[in-house]
Amino acid sequence: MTTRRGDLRLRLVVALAAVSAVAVAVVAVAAWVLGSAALERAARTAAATEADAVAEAVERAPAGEGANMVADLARAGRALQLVEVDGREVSRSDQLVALAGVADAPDGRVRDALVGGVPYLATVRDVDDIRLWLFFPTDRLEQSREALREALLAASGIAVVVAAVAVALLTRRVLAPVDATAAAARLLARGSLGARVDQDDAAAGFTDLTASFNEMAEALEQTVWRLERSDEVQRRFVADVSHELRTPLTVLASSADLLRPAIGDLDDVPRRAAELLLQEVDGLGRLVDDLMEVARLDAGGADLCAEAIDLPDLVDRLLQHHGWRDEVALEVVGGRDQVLVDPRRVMMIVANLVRNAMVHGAPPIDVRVIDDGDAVVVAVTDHGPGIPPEHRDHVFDRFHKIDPARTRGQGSGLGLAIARDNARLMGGDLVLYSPAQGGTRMEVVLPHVDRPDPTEQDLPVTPDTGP
Amino acid sequence: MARILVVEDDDAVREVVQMALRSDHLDVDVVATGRQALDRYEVMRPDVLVLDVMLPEVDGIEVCRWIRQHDTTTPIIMLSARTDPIDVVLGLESGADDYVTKPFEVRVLLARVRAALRRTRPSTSPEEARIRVGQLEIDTAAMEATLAGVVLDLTATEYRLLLALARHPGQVHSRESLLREVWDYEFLGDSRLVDVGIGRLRGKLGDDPRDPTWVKTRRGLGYCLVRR
Repeated sequence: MTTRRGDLRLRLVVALAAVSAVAVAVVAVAAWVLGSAALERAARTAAATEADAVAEAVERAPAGEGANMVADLARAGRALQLVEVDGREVSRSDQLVALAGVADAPDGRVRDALVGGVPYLATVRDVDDIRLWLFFPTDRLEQSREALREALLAASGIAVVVAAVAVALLTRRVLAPVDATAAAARLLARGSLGARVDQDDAAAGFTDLTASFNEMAEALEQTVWRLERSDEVQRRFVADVSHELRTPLTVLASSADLLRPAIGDLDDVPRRAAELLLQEVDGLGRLVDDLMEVARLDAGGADLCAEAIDLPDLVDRLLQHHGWRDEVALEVVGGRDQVLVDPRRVMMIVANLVRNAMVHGAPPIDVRVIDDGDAVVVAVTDHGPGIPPEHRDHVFDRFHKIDPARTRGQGSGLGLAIARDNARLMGGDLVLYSPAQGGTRMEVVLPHVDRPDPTEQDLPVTPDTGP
Repeated sequence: MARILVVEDDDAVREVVQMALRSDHLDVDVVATGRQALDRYEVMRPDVLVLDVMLPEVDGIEVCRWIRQHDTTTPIIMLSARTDPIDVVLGLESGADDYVTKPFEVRVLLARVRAALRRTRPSTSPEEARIRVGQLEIDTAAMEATLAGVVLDLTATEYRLLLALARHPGQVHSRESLLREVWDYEFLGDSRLVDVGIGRLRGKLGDDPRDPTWVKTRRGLGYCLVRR
């Protein structure tokens, strides 16, 4: 995006600078042609005037002195001269060796002439019987033209530079609203929904762009705000409802606890009724627990208590606690380095996966703790029918049911969603694998964090010996 | 028979808790408000106090604070419908030893009460009657800790925590292992119990939490008592 905008600016500057350069060049060439012609005209006029002055001086000189007079005058001035009296040459400047293109008409006009290959301005004057040729050097004219050319070149150069700078500044100014809009768009993309373009920047025909951008941003902010609000209301509702359910559920669950040992003494019908009651109370308790957990995770209020632990040992104790040790095989692969995790959350995840494997999968069920150096993976595998392909993308969705006919399973339908959220909270992930030969493998991937505080490694950690 | 005082404003919860604790052969008394709790506490002197956080008039946290001013040893277990981290920490900091969140099953509460009662009984291992770490001395028979000859005013839980650390000075104890050893949590214990307990222990040892000289934090590993 930046590159494309940079390109646009560069192209604009180059194009405008080129146009200015061409304009400057045209002006310079015109100035050169006109100025040069004016200089030449002035030189010719000066030559004619001086020739007239010489002729007048010769005319006023005493008889017979005219020719000498010319030589003296010519010596004093810079012109070369050739003097004829009655058609006879009486004097000639030394330089006048080879003459070419010299007109002999005494018409007062100034012509170009080459003397020894050097250009001169030549003119002829007749005074009585004296005919005199005067050749004026053009070096001064050439110098003037040279100066003119240099001045024009310098002026053009400066003009081009000034134009380029002006174009760059102008481009920036013109593109300022575009830049401001782009900056605001970037802010918006990063989540600063309050980002707007300052309308004062919106110079020169960009008011439409900036105004519509601001309109769009406003609409977006409003929408996001509305969504957030309804989301917030919904979350609040879930949290409140679950909260209100806690006291009655405590009574239900605790009464069920007390009822349990007496169930065997009841007659068939009340016994079955009591069994159903206890079963549903358990399910309800889990559902509310899960809803509370979801509400906490959604509110971002979940706090992480990470600690270096021996994962295989913890998993082993978990299996023992739930009485799963006989049905579930535990295998440790690779090293047994301690990992930095929140033990409570890891246990919640693993317990959920094992419970799922036992309810929905089929034995043998095994749990493998694999340490490959980069990450520690807890893989829970069952050998049941596996998850149908069309459901694999949705197993982590909240309340997703694989069998719609079974609307109420043993779980809340939130377990895997919570498990994945918890794994991600610890910087890890929860991944489903469905091997071709059937069964389901769930992997909790926990990033391997180097043992913290390397400076204090000399302190031995209390071995986890179990209770 | 151990005497348990239960403070709970909800009638049904109060009744079911009472039934459950009684059926587990505990001597149970129940009250419904914070004021009643303070009155009954004075008369009864229970071995364990089970205290609901949300009570009319004087709430559980205030009751807990008030009792802790006079009595440091009686274990207090909070019953909380709140799981906001702040509420839990507030309850623990007011002097509670443990907490159970609603909805709970009575056997969970029962397990916590039993664990609390165990903490108030002296250690059974006779080979370590006295443990000394620098100026700190623990008399395991009397369940008493002294620092430079002065008796430390510790709750039963704080005493157990100090004992666990002092048995292996210089060793790092993970929160998880302390939850097991001190609180009897097999797993899924809340490590904030340990953090708040350590904070209170430091206070009584005169430790500056920012630069403790007795109980050091090993970030990500746990806590250890400095070897002397």
